[in-house]
Amino acid sequence: MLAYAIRRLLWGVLVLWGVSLITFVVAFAVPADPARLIAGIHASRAALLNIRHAYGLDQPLPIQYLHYLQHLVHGDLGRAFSLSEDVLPAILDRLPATAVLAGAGLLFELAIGLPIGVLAGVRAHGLPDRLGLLFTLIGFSMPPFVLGNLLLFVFAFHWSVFPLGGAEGPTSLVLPALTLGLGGAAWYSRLLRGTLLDVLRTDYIRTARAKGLSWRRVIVKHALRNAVGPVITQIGLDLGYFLGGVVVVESVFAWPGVGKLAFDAISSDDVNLIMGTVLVGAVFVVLANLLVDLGQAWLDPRIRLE
Amino acid sequence: MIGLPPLPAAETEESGAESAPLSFRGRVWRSLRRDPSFWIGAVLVGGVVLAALLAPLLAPHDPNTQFDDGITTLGEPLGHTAKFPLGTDFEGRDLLSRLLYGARLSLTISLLGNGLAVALGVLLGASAGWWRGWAERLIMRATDVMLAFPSLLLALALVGIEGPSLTIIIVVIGMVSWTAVCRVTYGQVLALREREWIDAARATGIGSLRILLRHILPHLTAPIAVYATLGIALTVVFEGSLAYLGLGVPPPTASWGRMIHDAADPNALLYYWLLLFPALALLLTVLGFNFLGDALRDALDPRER
Repeated sequence: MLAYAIRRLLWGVLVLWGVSLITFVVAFAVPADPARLIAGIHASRAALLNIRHAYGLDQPLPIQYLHYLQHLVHGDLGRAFSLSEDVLPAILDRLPATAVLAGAGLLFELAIGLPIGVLAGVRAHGLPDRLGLLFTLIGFSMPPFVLGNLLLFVFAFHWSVFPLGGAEGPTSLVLPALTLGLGGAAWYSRLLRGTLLDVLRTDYIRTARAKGLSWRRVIVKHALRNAVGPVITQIGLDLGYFLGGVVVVESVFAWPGVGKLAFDAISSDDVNLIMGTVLVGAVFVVLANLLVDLGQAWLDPRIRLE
Repeated sequence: MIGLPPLPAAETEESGAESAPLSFRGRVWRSLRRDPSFWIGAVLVGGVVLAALLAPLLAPHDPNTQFDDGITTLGEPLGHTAKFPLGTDFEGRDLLSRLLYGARLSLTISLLGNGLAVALGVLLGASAGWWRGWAERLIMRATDVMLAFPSLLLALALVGIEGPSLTIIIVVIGMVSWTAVCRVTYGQVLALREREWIDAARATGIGSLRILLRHILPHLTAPIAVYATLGIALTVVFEGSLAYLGLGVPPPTASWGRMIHDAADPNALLYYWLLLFPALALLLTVLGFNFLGDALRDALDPRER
């Protein structure tokens, strides 16, 4: 198990290195001059050269990348020129808002998705299943910026039940979380329906039924317990993905999270901030994958041997 | 919420050399014909495709013309009138015409972007699965890196740098969305290359490329067709998101994502049709491709039913 964990960890680090390399190449293809961003548009040529030198921007790109990596391993993501702030604290500042949104979104996903999944799986091909499938298909098909804006229109503009945006008070969380949750709920109900269908076909379910257990008991005690595995995996992956910032939803609702920060970084050509937000997002995805894989390996020894 | 819905392994037995291709096709068609999802999807997709193709004929006006009588004296957009069936926007442009031309843009980007992604995915996945060795390691590692990437952020950064244009957006969409198809192709090729009839083909001395093209890829059409169809749905959303975030094809080109962005301004919400119609257009398009993809998957993989 330890060997497997170490292997997976090293692999995760390697993936992050790959992400950093690609992001660096992409970010530094930005035509904007960071020195200009720092000094302002009226700065003299001499001042620009000074700033370039001070931040190492006059070095060749590979050298700059090595410098970046060197700082990176010390947890220093450089300075966000557009914010006059360091990148890491800027991201950590906005992380709680994103975490709250991610958590609430996940809750909505599960609260809506799982019951539908169970109903659809148990009554496969019946009316609940068909309605469930329709719901999931619409859920999948609803782009978050469409759903978010429609919700805003109905519940914030028309009926003024919730605020139009921002993050003030618990009511402002409802609509963004619901936007995040409805799309994901479709995913979870499908996932659970599929695994439940597979499980219900197995011999031990037939045995459980044959020995006279009620359907309810068979579903809850035997089938569900064996069908939630993939759901738990998906929860882990979703959290990792959400924590990196949900760009679209945060933009629709002016939610002050990491996704909004990342988007602003791109709009203002802030190279270090772009790299930082992408890297932090990737760290969460890699960590979530790692934890999910380790959890599965712990539960199922066969995986470790692969 | 991330990526595509789970797809069971393709029925290689079904599409295998044992059964004649015609009967397989016949079975698929029979299953499709009975599936309401297929018909709903076909109608929706057919409608959008027709709207896109016939936009110049169907549109009552030029999509970019700003009509003086298209806004009120206070500068407000119009609702339904005889001249403007779906109303106008703040610039006095005809909403229906813009929606029809928006279908053109959305479908062009999605079909080409997704086509590029599928081509890349099949090429890389098949190479990794067939040749194994360093190609496999390199490609599958690259796939893992891409999967760890926040793909929308990457696309935004790339489009932001290169400047939003039709070509750039298509290329960027292709570059960030090939991983799903790559993984599926890889897995399938890996399984297929161990089959006896591939050994037999190899024994006759045919080259690798020929085996891949003639004896392996034809068996992958089923899963690839499913992924490509569902992928179009994802790409339509992706393109819409880029446009919504301000990094789509620049105005005045009519784009659904951009129209929704403009309509979502608190000052514009009073004119609900500005939000409602592009939102519906986008939703029905995505829904259509998802219905179609679902029906295809069910038809091609009977075990799901």
